Formats: sequence, C-alpha cells, structure tokens
Amino acid sequence: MSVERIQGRAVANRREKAGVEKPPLPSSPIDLALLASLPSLPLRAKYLVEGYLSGQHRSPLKGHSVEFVEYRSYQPGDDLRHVDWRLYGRADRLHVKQFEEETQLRIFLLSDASGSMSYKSRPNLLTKLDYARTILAAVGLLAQRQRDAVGVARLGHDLTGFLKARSSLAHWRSILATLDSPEVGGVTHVSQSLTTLAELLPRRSLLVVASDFYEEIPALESALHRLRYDGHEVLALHVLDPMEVDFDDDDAAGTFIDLENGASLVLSAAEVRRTYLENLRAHQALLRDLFAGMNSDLVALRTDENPLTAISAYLAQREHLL
Amino acid sequence: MNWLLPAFLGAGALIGLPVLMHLLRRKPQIRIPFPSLQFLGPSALQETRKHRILRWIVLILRCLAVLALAAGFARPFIGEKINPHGRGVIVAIDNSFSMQAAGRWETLRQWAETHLDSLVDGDQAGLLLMHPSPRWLVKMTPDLSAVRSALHDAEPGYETTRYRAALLMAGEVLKSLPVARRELVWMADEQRIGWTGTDFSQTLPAGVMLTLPPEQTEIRHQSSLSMGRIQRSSIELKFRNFSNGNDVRTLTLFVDDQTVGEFPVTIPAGSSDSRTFPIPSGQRIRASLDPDDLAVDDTVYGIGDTTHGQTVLLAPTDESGFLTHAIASTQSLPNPLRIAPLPKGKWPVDAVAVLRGETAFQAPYLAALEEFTANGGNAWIFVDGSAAQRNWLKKQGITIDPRSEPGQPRNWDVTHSILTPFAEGQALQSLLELHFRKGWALTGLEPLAQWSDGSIAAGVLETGNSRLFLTGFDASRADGSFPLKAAFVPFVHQALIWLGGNEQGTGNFRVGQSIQLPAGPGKLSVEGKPAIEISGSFTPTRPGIYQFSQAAEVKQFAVNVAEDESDLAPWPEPADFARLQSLESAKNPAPSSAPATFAGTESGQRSSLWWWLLAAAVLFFIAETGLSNRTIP
Repeated sequence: MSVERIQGRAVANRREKAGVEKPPLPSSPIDLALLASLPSLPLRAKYLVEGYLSGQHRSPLKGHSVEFVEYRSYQPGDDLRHVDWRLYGRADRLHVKQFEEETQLRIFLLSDASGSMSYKSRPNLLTKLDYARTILAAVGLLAQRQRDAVGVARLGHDLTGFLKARSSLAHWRSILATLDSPEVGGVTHVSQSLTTLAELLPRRSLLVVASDFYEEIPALESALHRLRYDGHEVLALHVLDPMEVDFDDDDAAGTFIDLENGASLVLSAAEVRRTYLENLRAHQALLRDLFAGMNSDLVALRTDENPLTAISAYLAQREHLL
Repeated sequence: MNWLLPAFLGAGALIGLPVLMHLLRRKPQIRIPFPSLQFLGPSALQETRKHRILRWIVLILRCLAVLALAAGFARPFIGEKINPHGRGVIVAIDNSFSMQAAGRWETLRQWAETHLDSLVDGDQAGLLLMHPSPRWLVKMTPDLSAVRSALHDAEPGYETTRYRAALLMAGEVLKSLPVARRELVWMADEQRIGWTGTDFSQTLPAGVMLTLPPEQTEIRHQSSLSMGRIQRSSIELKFRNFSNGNDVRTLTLFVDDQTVGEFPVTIPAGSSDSRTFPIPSGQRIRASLDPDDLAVDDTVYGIGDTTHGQTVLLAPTDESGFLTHAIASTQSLPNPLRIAPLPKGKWPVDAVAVLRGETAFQAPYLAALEEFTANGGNAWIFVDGSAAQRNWLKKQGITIDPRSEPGQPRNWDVTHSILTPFAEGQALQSLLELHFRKGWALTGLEPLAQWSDGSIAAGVLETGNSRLFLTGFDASRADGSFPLKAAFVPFVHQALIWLGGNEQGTGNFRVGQSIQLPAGPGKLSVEGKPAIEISGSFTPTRPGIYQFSQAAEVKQFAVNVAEDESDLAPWPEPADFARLQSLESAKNPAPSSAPATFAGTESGQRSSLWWWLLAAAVLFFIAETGLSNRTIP
C-alpha cells in the first residue's frame, strides 16, 4: 500500500472522528500535461478549480457563505426571494431578510521556495514548486470565491513575500503575483519561516503549507507547536517528485547535485536505491507522526498524480474549522 | 619458466594503457540535480568507496588480461634456462656379464672417461646402468668429479644385455636437458643379443648425439657351461664353444661343496655339446670349467634331485586320456610328475590330488578328501557342476554358476607362479587362444583368469596349509581345444608343481629373475654374502646357490647367468647404429654459434601453459566487462 494511500486513509479517519462531512470526490480527471502546459498560474488554478467543481453533484459552497441578521422593510427592486412571507402573513407588511456574511476564514498560502522545490525528473511534469503554486492558487481561488480572506508567504531561507489575509479582488491578484514569483533557491528553513510567520498572523488562521519538508523534524515540531498554540490550523501538502518517491531510474548514475546546498556525490541510483528508500520512508513516517500528533493533516502529493486530493483535503479542513 | 617467443613479453608494456586510462579517466560528466542528498549520505559514501574499489578491481583485471595475453603469446613453458655453451653427457653403462670378458670393461671405461674428462664446469653428466632395467648410477649432475669417481668404481654385473630401454631412457633425459650439446656415450660391447629387439628406425631425439665405442678386440677363448637335467645320480651339463678353434678344458664337479671329480672336456669349435656326469647324492651342485676369457659363464649351479618326483593322485573319471598323458610326459622334465590312483583310504598329504567329476566328492572318498585338505593337502579341482562337487565347494566358500555361452579365459595373472612361464611371447598367446564350449563362473577365489564378463575362470584358494586350484573349464576335448594346445602340458605341469610346493625347489633360475619365497619371513644367504632377513620374493644379482631358511626348513635356489649372454658376437650391421642418429643431429652435430634449443623448443611446443593464459585473459576480460558495467563511468 502506498504512502499516499496510508496518508489519505489517516485523513479520512480524522474527518470522520471530527464529524466533518466528507467532501465529494472529484470525478473529472485532471490532465496533468495540459495543466503543466497552461501559461500562467491563474489559468492553472482556474483549470484546477473548475475541474474540481465540475466533478461535484452538489456545490460544497451552498448555504455556508451568509447568515440571517435582521429584517428591513421591502423596497422596490428587492429580490422577492428574500421576502419573508410568513412574517407578511402575521404582520401584513412586506419585510426582507437581511443576511450577513459569516465570520471570515483567514487562509494563508505558504509555499516552500527552496532550491529543492525547483526539481522535476521528467520534462512533461511540473516542478515541485509549480505544482505547489498551482495547488495553492487553486485553494486560494476557492477561498476567494467563498469570500475568505487569503494571505500568502514564501518559505525560504527566511519568510518572504508575506501578504496579510484579505478577500478583495485586488488583493487576490497580489497573491497570485506573489505565488508566481520566480524567486527560488537556497537552503530552506521552513521551521524558522513558520516561527517568523507565527509572529505576524492573527489568531485562528488556516495555514496551507506546500513543501517537500526536507527539514529537521525537531525544529519543525517546535514551529508547529507554536502555531497550534496560537490556534492556527495547518494543512501540510507534502509535494514530492516521483523520482524522489520511487528512486527507480536505474540509468541515473553520475554526480548527484544537491539543489539546495550544491553538495555532490558520485553514485548510481540503482545501487543506493534500497538505502535511499529506507531513509525516505523513515523521514515520511516521522513527518506523518509529527502532523498527526499536532492534529493536522499531511497530504502526500506526487507531481505526476492528480492534485485534486489536496483541494479535497483543504475543503475538509475548512468545513471542520467553520 | 622459459619463453618460446619472449619478444611478445614486450606487449606487457601495454599494461600502461589501462593504467593511463584509469588515471586520466574522465570524471563523471553526468550531473544529476537532485532535491536533496540527505537520504543518500552514508550509503552513497559507501557506494562511492565501493565504486572506487570496483574501479581498482577493473583496472587490475584489465592489467591482468593484458599481461595474460602477452604471456600467452610469448608461449611460456616450464623448464630450465638453456645454457648456450653447456654440454650434457650420459654414459650408458652395459653392466652385463659379457663386459667381464678379458680387458673389455677396462678398455671401455677408459674410453668413457675420456669423454667425461672433456667436460668443463657448467656441463652435466650422469651414469646410467643398463641392466636389469635402466637405472641411474649417478643422476645428471654438474658435479663431474662425482661422476668420474662413480665410473671409476663401477663394476660389471651378471645381467643379460638389453640395450633398447636404456637407449630410449637416455634419449628422453638428454632431450630435456637445458644444454646446447647432448651426448650419449655408449659404454657397451655391442653384443648382438643386446641390440635384438631394437627398432633402428626409431631415432634418438633431435640434438642427441650417440657416441659409440671403438670396435672391441676379438675374444679368442670363449666357451660357456650351462646346467642340463639333474637326476639323482647324474647331471647333464651343456657346453658351447664360441671360438674358432676346439676348446680343451677341464671340468670340476662339486656336490655339497665336495669335489667329486675332474673331467677333461673338448668342445668343438663353434658348436654345442652336452655330457652327463655321475654324481653322488646331494643337493648343492656346482660345475666349473677352468676359466677362459669370460670366466663368469664357466661355472653353473644346481640343486640335486633328492626326491622321486611329485605324486599326483588322479580321481577316477570316464575321460582321462589327455590329462594322464600330459602328466606322464613330464617324466623327462625337471620336476617330473608321477601318477597314482586316488586311494579310498587316507590320501598322502605330500601328494597333489586332481579331482574331476563328482566321484571324489562322494563316499568313500569324501572323508579322505576332508582329512586331506584339513592336513594341508593340495588339490586341483576341475569344476563340472555336479551336485556333490558343488556342495563340497560351497562349504569351502566357493560358489559356481554355469555360463550360458562359450568363452575364452582372459586377464591371465602372469605374476602368479603357475603362469610365470607363460609371461612372455608365444606361451601367453597359446593361453589367450583357449576356447571352451562351456564353462563355470567361480566366486570366492583369488582369480588367475577371468571370463569375458569378469567372472573368475580359474583361481586359487589358500586356506591354512592347503592349496586349492580350481578351473571353471575341463581338460576334455569335448569341452574345448585346451588339450590340443601347446600350453596344455606346461600348464598342467606348472600347476601341479605349484600345488606340490616344488615349483622352485630345483629351479634353474637366472640372474635378475624374481624368485618367489615360501610364505613368511626367513633368512636368505648366498656364498660370500651375509644372510639377510627377507620375505616375499627376491631378485638375485649374481649366480650361486641361494639358501632360504625358515625355522628348521631350508629351501635352496640355484641361480645361473643367462646362457645367451655368453655369445659375445657383435651386432652384424654397424650401419644400423647410424640410423639411430636423428638426421637433424647429424646435419648439425655441434652447434656453436646458434645454441641448440631443441629441448626448450619442444618443451615449449608441448606446454599448454599458453593456452591456459589465453583462457585466463578471456576470463579476465569477461570479469572486467561485468564489473565495469557496474561502475559509474
């Protein structure tokens, strides 16, 4: 059974325990090649969201966005659908229901901008960073449509590109521009960036973190504790390239260059595969345990697989918060 | 180790190529960006070290392959380095008794010594005694003084001349010597008898020079004396005169070391004669002529006949003609046999019983047979498969099975005393031609002959003091051709003598002939030599009366020199000796400028070491290919 499936089942179990309605699964497949070929991040995000929504039988947004507050006298031009006909029967006067938007959810889209995220093993795939950007943009688009306040930041050597959460259309464009920023490289300190971010965030936000999490587990654990203490929810999207997951390119032999620190090793993938996979599995298990301990979701994503899993996880998390 | 084509060793310098390739090899050009090496660290380092070791192994394999190829083409062979100026000399010494002829040994030894004297430091020499079989007196050695000393101390023996084996052995040894010149110095009197059987078309190996002795001076007075038939009161002596004139001699007879008479003897020129002389009863007989130019064949020894011959008890049978006649015909031979009927009472233990048919295995003979064998009596049983015979044999542990088809006995054990006289020539052939219409396969015996399916056709069983000789075939004309064959009478005679334990008692043995002793250890003595503890057999090296003592029992053996060795006539065709010389050697008898490397060349050509090296090179290449495919370029 794949790691992803194990993780998916863990997420589902947690949803059931929390009494959250399971979001409907998308039935429309995403053409990854088409997604990768789309020229801009907004387009890719829109393609992803539309692809997701077109697969739903019922909109997950229905009935969640507004809440009744008071009545006011009917004015010509008001939508007759908002007239409270029961009150008209009792008072013989037309009143219109006044609704108010629910408490806005603050969602922060956090992308790992380290050098390792620029990796793709095959030409027809997105780099891990592009894959993460696309998912984050799709999540952001969904949030924006739900009038949630969306913020953004890049996690690199330190926190950069931080934008506060807002729900305006202009802000959304800024968010897209920040996500789409070409800045990438260097060594990542996700934990350090998250700690910095905790100082800037208002209370009770949903942080969607897309990263490969090549991090020291204790440091990451410390940062996550801090976020949980502040009441934040964290949805971790663990983005990996298929080569990183399987390490199955037997022809890959030569000097391996570390994309973060530039270190190099002469080796053959075929000969170190077993050891590599053991180490990777151990790291993934530690990450899984860490996020499970924090009551957070860790969604494993491969850049050669359907990213809608991440959107489903996001929506489940959002419903849980609301 | 030497090299046939050493120039190819230069190709070993090509080892520099893989070394150069290794040192100047391109560092891996393939750069593979990867998100993080944190999961590759320790294992990758191990792999890197492993690859480094692998690359070294690949380099070593490449070097080994190159070296093996070069060495293989250089054609290595095991052998000593050839000394381009060295000489190797083997002095083949004819130690037969003909070399005791007046002045012959001294003359030839001095001639051989001149060849040894011409050797210098670095040369090798050896002394090869020809008889009874070629053996080293001094092995090939550069210690020339030891060789000269041994030759000076050497003496002729009492053997018979046979040159062929020594010639072959000396040629082979010389061929393998790592020297430029190889010489075979032939210290022999070139007797005709010695060269008999030599194939002159089989030349000595190339490079071996045969040096023959100068022609021998003629021996003027040479007559020989040999033993004829010895009877209780007389002795027959045979004379042969090899000289051109009549030989008038005096014969002296000794019995038990006592002189019994001197007799004038005239031996006609170039002819043989025999005379019978009266002797008193006794055992040790010696007859001597006054010495001539070859004294050793002027004395003969014999063991007197103090018995009345071996008694053979014949069981009554319907068919008795051939066997009876065969036994009766031995009356004129040494160790005659006497026939007696099988008594119904006690059988004399010193007799030999010949049991045919089942009568002897039935009452009233059965009890006597049991007592006879229990007391050490010996018997020859012709197996016929009768019930009484089968049952008795079964009690002895012997089983018999009829054979369904005709057969020929084979694998005759000619080392057994019964068959020793058949060991050579036509006699053995006559045994091999035996054919039987029916026969019996025997088990539980020591085989003397086997049927074609490996079962025993004839064998012996020795239990305690008793000897049983069984033949799975009969001596009847109806069963086969055995009674008509030339081997029949000798076979019957020899078998009955052996069963009677007298097969060697009065034998006229020759020097060099192996003599079987009675079972158990004893002391062997001969005149002029101290007694020695011995058992089994011995081979006499000089003539005389040999006495073997076991407790109170004494057995004597008369040993004489071979009669035919007395003929000192040389080989009639000296031109044949030239044919022994290889044409190659004859064309280039003493190469001086170009070293004779025949030994090395032939060794090299014979050696299969190069083949193994090429095979090793292929294996190295295969291993290199396999390993290099596992390394990162």
